Order: sequence, then C-alpha cells, then structure tokens
Amino acid sequence: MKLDAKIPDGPIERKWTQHKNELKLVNPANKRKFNILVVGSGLAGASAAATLAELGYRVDCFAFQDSPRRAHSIAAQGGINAAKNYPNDGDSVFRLFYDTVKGGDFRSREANVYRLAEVSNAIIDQCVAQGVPFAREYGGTLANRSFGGALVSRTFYARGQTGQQLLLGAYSALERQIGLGTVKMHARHEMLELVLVDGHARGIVTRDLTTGQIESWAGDAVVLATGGYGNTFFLSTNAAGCNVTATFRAYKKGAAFANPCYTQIHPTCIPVTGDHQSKLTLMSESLRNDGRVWVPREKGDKRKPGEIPEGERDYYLERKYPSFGNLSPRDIASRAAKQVCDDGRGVGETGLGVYLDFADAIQRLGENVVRDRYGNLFQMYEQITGENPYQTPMRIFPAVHYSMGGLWVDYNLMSTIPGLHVLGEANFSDHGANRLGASALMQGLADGYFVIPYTIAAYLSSVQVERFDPKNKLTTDHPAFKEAETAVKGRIDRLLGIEGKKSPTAFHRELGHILWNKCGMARNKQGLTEALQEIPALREEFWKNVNVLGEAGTLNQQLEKAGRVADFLEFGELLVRDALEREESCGGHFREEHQTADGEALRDDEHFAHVAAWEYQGDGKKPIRNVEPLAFETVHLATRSYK
Amino acid sequence: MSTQANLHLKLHVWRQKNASDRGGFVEYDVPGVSSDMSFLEMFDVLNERLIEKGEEPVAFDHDCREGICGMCSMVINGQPHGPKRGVTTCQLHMRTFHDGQEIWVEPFRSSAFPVVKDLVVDRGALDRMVQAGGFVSVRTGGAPDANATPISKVEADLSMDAAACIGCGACVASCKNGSAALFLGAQVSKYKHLPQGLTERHERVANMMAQADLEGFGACGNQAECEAVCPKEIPIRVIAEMYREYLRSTFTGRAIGKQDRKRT
Amino acid sequence: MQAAATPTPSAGGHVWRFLTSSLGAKVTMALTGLGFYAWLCLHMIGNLEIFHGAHFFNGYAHFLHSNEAKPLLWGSRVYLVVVVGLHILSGVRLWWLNRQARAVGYRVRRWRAASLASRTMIWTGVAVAVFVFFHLAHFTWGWFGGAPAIAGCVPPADCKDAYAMVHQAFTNGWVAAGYIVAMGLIGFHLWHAVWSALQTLGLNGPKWTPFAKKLGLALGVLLAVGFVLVPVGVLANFIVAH
Repeated sequence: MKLDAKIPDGPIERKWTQHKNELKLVNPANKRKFNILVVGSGLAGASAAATLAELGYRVDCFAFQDSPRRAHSIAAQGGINAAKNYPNDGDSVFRLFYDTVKGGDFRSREANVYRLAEVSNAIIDQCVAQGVPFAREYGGTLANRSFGGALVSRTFYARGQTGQQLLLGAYSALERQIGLGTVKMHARHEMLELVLVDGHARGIVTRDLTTGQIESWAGDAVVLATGGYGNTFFLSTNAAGCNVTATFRAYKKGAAFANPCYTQIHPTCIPVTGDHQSKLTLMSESLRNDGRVWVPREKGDKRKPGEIPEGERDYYLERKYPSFGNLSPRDIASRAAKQVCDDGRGVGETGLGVYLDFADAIQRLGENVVRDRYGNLFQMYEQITGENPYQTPMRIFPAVHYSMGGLWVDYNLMSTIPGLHVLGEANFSDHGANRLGASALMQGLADGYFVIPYTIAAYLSSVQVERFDPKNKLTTDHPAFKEAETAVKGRIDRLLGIEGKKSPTAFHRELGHILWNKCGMARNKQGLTEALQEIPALREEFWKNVNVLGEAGTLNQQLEKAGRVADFLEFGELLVRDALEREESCGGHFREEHQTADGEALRDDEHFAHVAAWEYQGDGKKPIRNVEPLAFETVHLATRSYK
Repeated sequence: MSTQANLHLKLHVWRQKNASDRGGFVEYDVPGVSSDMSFLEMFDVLNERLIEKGEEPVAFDHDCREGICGMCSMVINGQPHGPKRGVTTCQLHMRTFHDGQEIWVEPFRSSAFPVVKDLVVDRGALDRMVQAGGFVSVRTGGAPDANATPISKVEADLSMDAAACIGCGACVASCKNGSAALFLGAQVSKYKHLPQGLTERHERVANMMAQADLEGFGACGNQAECEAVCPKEIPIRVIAEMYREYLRSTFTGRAIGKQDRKRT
Repeated sequence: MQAAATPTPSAGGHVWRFLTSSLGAKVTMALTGLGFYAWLCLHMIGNLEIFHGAHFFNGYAHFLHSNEAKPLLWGSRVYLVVVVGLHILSGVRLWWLNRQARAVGYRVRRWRAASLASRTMIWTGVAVAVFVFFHLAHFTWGWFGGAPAIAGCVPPADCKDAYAMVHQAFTNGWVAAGYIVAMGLIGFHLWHAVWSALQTLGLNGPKWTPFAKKLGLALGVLLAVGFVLVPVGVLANFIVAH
C-alpha cells in the first residue's frame, strides 16, 4: 500500500492557503447531485453535515443515539484551544502549532497540525456567531484559562461544559439544515458495514436500532466521524455506546488503521470502586490549574490526608517538573501517578489513587472563587464518591480517555479508500502520540467546519464526470449492497444463534482487563506478547459461548453490544500488535524497555519517526504494517522536556 | 472514605415489548447491590443476572453515564431521575436508597414520547422543536471576530444557565400536563440573552411554540414541578421569558414564521 | 426521525394563530381570571355594605337596579359573561389538551414542587362554577323564593328587601356552610391562580416571583375572608333581622 499524504509544497504557513487556492471546486448546480453520507453526529460529524448541506450537497447523517445532541463530544468539560492571543501573553498560531507538535511527542504530521492551529481562531468566531455562551470577563470580552502542556492562556470555555455548548452549536446548525430538508437525519441507526463499488466508498449498511431493519444507503462519498476506540479497554471515560465498529469495518474493507497503540490515559479521573463499575468519570484537567497533586512521602501511610503534615507530602509533579508542575501534559502526569502508586504510595482503599488538593487554592482565592470556577465538577465528584472536595482532597487516578490513533488520512482527510473521509477522533492525524488538553474539540470542529467542506471537493470533482453519466447511476440494488447486507445479517444471526453462557459485557470486561494490564500506561514485550495470545483465545471463546438474548427485529441492546464487543475483540489485537512493534516510548505509548535513567520516555527517532498504518489482509492473517515517514521541517526533533 | 454497604432491593420495573404492547410491571428481587453503584449500574447487574437465567434484559436508554448526554431517563418512585435533586439517573447512587426498599421504575410518560420498549421512549419531538427555530441562522465561515461584540458577563451567564439544558425530557415527564415549556423556554432564553440570538427572536419563539402544539405537548400550568426535577436545575424564569418573547413577537406584528414566508 | 412539520399556515394572521395556540389559551385564562378577580373585589365591597345596616344596603341594591344604573348593570353582566365564559372555555380546552398530552399516568407519583392548589385548578374551577350557578339561582333569579317586600313600601318604588333575603338565607346553617366552603375553594383556586397568571404574562424575577406567590395567597385570603364575613356575620348575630 502506498501512503501518499498529499502534503502541499511550500512553507508551512502558506500550505493551507495555497492548497485551498488550488483545490478544485464543484459547481453549485452539481453539488445538489452529490449525496454525502455522514456517519456520526458529534462535533466533527454535525459540523461537517451542516456545513456540507449549507454548501448545497445532499447529506444523510447517521447516529446510533436517539438524537445528534447525545454524541459523546458533549461530555468534554474543560475547553477549546485557539491562538487568539486575547490575553496578550504571547500566543500565536505558530506557538499553538509548536506546542501541539511537541505535546504529541513528535509523532504527528506537521502540515496537519499547522492547519489546525491556523483555523482555530475561525472556530471561536463561528461558535460565538452561533450563540455559544462562552465564559466572559466583566468587560464583555471572552475569558481564557490555561491548560496542560502550554504556558499561555488560550483555552476558551463555557463553565465545565464546553463540549456540550460547542456540540449544541454544531447541533443547532445541523438541526437547522434538517428543518430545511437539506440533511436527512437517521437517528438510532448504527453503521455496520461500508460498501465499496469499484474500489470507492459508495455506501453503508445500517441497522435501524428500533426496528432491527437492515438498510443500505448509496452515496458519492462517505464521511466517518465516529469517534475513538477508548472503550476497547472496557473501563474508560467514553460513553457506554462509544465503539470502534464503523472505523473497524472500514479497516476490514481496506482503509489503513494508523497508530492504534496511541491511547491517551487521562490523569484526573475518579478511581475505580468495584467490579460493578461501568465507566470512569473524568474530572476536567482544568482542575490542575488550581489543584495540587500529591501522595504521602512514605510508603503505606494510611493516615487521613488532613493528618499528613506538609513536610511528609510529596508534590511529585511540582518536584519532578518544576516549570510545568501540576500542568504537565497528560501522558507525563499519568505515568507519574502510576509510578508513585507502583511505589506503594498510592492513596485510597485500593492504593490506586493520588490526591488532588484544593486547600491552597481555597485559602488563596476563597471558597467562592473556587466554587465559581469548578462548582459543577466538585458537585459531580461529591455525587459519585460521597466525599466533599472542599474539605478533603479529591482522589484521582488515570483512566483511558482518548485515542490519538485512528484511520489513516491524507491532508484532505481522505483514507486509503477513495471517497472515504475520516474526521475528528476517528482519524489519526493531528495529535501524534499524545493529545494536549482542549485540543480535541478544536480538531473535531476544525475538520468539520473548515477542512472537509473544502477538501471533499478534491475527491468529488475528480469523479464527477463519471458519476453524472446516467449509465453509472448507483442504487442500493447493486450487488455490492446485497452482499454487504447478507454479511451483516449473517453476523447478526450468528451472534443470536450461539446461545452460550456469558453475556457480551462479561467478554468486554475480560478484554479490558487484558488490555489495561498489558497494554495500558506502561507496556513491555512480554506482556504484549501474552496479550497477543490471550485476545484471540478470548475471541474464540466469545464466538462459542456468548449469550445474546432477544430477537433481531426489535430494539435489542444486547445484540448491539455483542456486535461492538466482537469488533473490539478483533481491534484489541491490532492495538496490541501495534504497541509491540513500536519499539520506543512516545507520548501515551510507554514501553518499559525504552526509558531514560530517571524513568522518562525514550523516543527512537531514527527508527520510529513514522506513522504505522495497518493494512488488513484477511481474518487470521497478520496485517501489513505500512509506514509514512514523518518529516519535521519546522519544529526540530527534540527531547520533550517539561522540567 | 465512603462507607460501602450492601442493599437488598425489590424492584418493580415497567416491561413493554414494543410500542403496541400493553406492558406491565414485573417484580425483581435484587440482592447484593453495592451502595457505591449508580442506579444504572444496578440495572447492569440486574440485566447480567437476567441473561444468566435466560430472560431478556431490561431495555433502558443510557450513554455517557456522567450526567451530560441526556440519554438516561426512568421515573424512579414517582420522580424523573429519582429522588435526588440536580442529578440524572446515571449520577444517582444507590447510597440514596436503603436496604429492603421497594423501588418502582417507569418510563418517561408523555403522549409526545411514545414508549419504544421497556423504559426506552422516543424523544424525537424535542429535536423537531429545535428544528423549528432553536438556532441562529449563520452559515459556516465569515463570522466576525469573536470579541467584536462585547456581551455582558451577566447576560452571558443567564444564557449559559439556560443553555445547560441536556434535552433529557424530565421536565415533560414530570409535568402533570405533559408540557415541554421548560425545554422550550431554555432554548428561547439561551438565545434571548445574546445579541446573536436577537435577530431571529420573533420567528424563533413563534415557530418553536407552534411545533410544540403540533407535537402534542400540553400547556404549562406553572406548577414548577419541572424546575424541581430538572437535573440541571434550570429555573422556570426561562418559561416566563419565553412567554414575554411570544407576546412581543405576536403584538409587535413580526411573528410571521420563516417557513410561512418561504411558502408565500 | 422525521423533519419538523411546518407549523400550520396562519389562517388570519399571527394574532389569530396566537389566540388558537395553547399559550393563547393560557394568556386568555390569565387575563380573564384577573378580570374576574377585579369584578369579584367590587362585588365583595358591595356585599360588605350590609354591615352598614338594612337601609343602606337596600339603598345600594335599589341603586343597582335603578334606571340610572342600567348601563352599569348590563355592562357588568356582559363583561361577566364574556370574561367568565372565556375563562371556562379556555380552561376546559387546556384541560382537554393536557389530558391528551399525558394520556398515561404513573403508578407511583411523588410531587416535589407542584402544590395541591396547582394540581386541582380544574376541579376547584368546576366547583366554583357550580357554586356560581346556584348563587345566581339563589339571589338573582330567586328560584328558592325571591326577596320579601319591605314593610310599608308602596310600588312602583323598588320594594325588594335584599337585606332580609341575605339574612334569611344565611340563618340556615347549611346554606351558610355551603357559601363558606365555596369561598374557601375560590381562595384556594386564587392561591395558585394569581401568581400563575402573572408568570404566564411573563412577569418573573428573582425578587418578584417570591413576592407574586405571596401576593396570590394574600389576594386569595382577602377575597375569601371578605365574602365569608357576611354569612359569618349572620351566624354570629352581627347582622340581625330588622
């Protein structure tokens, strides 16, 4: 497989402008003839569907939830970055670009990241015009706060619900188009197969989750904005429904899957309480602006936090990383938490937790200011744990949060399948091996509002002559659709026919255990090799012993779950394989064999400054690892230091 | 540290095969519930046990499980999202209940929210009301600089209070009249306090309220039950604001809906 | 999911569309309710004239039926028919709409905020309407025997002894009790009605709303007490036969 990233020539700050100038346009009258299928309705999907419809394309949008407003983008708390430099603290597009490349541990594609930083300002303008109620200063201007991995305040926010407000902005734009009839929304429809005709992505097969009906949809291009695969780990901060099915189905149809081992473990989540736990709850990273992270200096110190005197506490982030301190990037903060817990100094009943303490902030700012800044987060913490964080420090522990890896895309956000475009968390392009806080919202909206509306024309204009020829008219009667429908129905019948003993959730939990223990915050060859044995064995058991009750022709949540778990069980293996073959430590991927004397990640730029894009070869066959070399022309490769 | 306890509960859960089925309550004996579980995790446990016994598990809507997506529903002992104020069902923890308690679980009831299965209802009507006017008609691109129009912090905060709505529909479920006034009010109020929203204020409120009547929602009786059950504690102030907007839109004579204009 | 249906094209413009909407019905309820309340206050003040004695009270009653007061009397009757009629029509319409909007109830129901008064508006309303009917039959149409003649009065002068009629009626404990209960129900209805009407008209604010709720209670009590003073006065022998 040849990976051509199609990065435009020229200096980095001119690439996007020049590329836009050179991109082919589609005649307005022809736009109406193109039908685009957008799968997913989160930040990336909703903004793309709305914008494409505004441009005149006919759009069908699919979501597995009952409304586009439920997409998990809604749960993002902290904020969205933009290089506005409103606080006058020296920010610029270049600095945002630089911080993001460095934050990604030099494993992202420079040109994409620069474009992201470049359009970041337009996103804020767009959202304000839509009526997103960002936080404001008393003078009426927008407020900013700082976030991990940056020394400037460039994060815009709406209380602790920034993701919600941005999603509602995109959702309102989408609903407006639905009302105008330019977008057809298909809620409670899950994409179960991608359909290729003559090697191009030309449609999808969905299951109507309410009626169980299997339906085919033909289009001229398919846009996947289906989010990340964090739920492969079972416990994560993702919503219960988040899954890898859409992207994994595309992978099995020939789209390369890039860097699946790059998973972000977020440092500030509420620790696990027991086996019943269904998900982990994130406490926004913004808390680290005012909270101080510490553990007892001595091992096994079981005193209450208030009884441990200042001198016997270890504020390990401030100690190890004096310049960034509590605002160190996520991968670094997570690993540091793991180290102190491995060291036996973790807190809480399980010993898997560290304190996030607001006593200093409350003393310095007063409880009211702290309440104003983080009130809803504190409330959420108290609801879940039954503890009052104004009085005792919060206990936090890292948890799987985000996936930097995803389907490989070129500069136009097109995958290796012509016509298949991938946006947001579902693609791999902008965050390298680690994502900085407040950058996910930025990327989702950048892709949906400001990139795909231009770049999709590159593909459509290249196929329009042939598509507009009446004899090439494609309908869902084409054998490719019938074949895909048969495959989908076959899989459903197979799942329902096993009638085994264990629930789909039980298998999912076991997969999660394997991945968290052997491919979590720290990974080594031995563990990964074991996981490569255990996952296929578990998968085999799944297909013999899973118990899916109910019928196919009705709402059947167990069937939905089983289908997703089946894909996690295959994808998990790919994730581990990628982790095994990346013989270096970078960002969220920490290989114990590759670390410095003081336990920091040790990159191997000579052998691994590249994207690993996996190509499916068939069930039971080892996929091919293709490589896209990464050139760092603007930001020079350097050891990432936050000391 | 929280003190974890084990509860033994008796559940009465509404089971309904599909929209046309009559449905009824089924009783479940649920021992061994940890007080650290969320209400939905308790249902997960129940469902795992049902699967073990070969019975079909209870269908219920849920997704983010952190109180923001608005997907989870359920009326628990006569109150949408259960007995605690300011939380969704997914954030309701079992420590709120006591050992041996009997719990009745019913779907959100409203004629505009038909039951799909068991505790799952169709809340598409809320989306359709947004389609009628819950937006600012700006296209992507060409927006002025975000700081070009200063907005008072007070107004922005009032807007945000309303914008916090998660669209769960508890307001409708709690309302004796099945009215969606709190939801609608939140959509109207969110834009009313921002200059960007004022351009279309007349059309917005008129079209959204007309859609609400078409969807078969009831009329607000000002009982304020919605405000008391709203997981985001949105105040009924937003309903009064919506009324003001509607009266203004009617009597200043500019309430001719966009859709009407397009057709004439 | 279907796209939003287009709102019904406006037959006759936006004011008509407003009036036929559910909110239009609510605003009608609010305005007519407040209008009826205002009239009831005048009625109550008139009733209290009875404490000035038979002569004064009969004089007031005779004035209301005199030729000079005819426009006033008929104006007031038309006003009442329109206001009360619209109030009842809108109320029944809303009740019907709301019943359809919530066709299936809950097995278990626990209220957090909705007061008993607010939940029973339609029933207190119906009870008051029934009462008003009997009240008219009783005092206006004289179905149960009209007013006696004033001793020594010679027609064509107005000889109806309104004072005696009222006194006679309330010496019957059952009638007095019926009136007292009915007034209680009106007060109860008003407790929610007043602030609800103000909220429907868009009057809401952090200081105003708590005040409006208290105002509703105060106005309800005021009206009920004002009306109840007469039967109580008769029973307590403050108002005596002349």
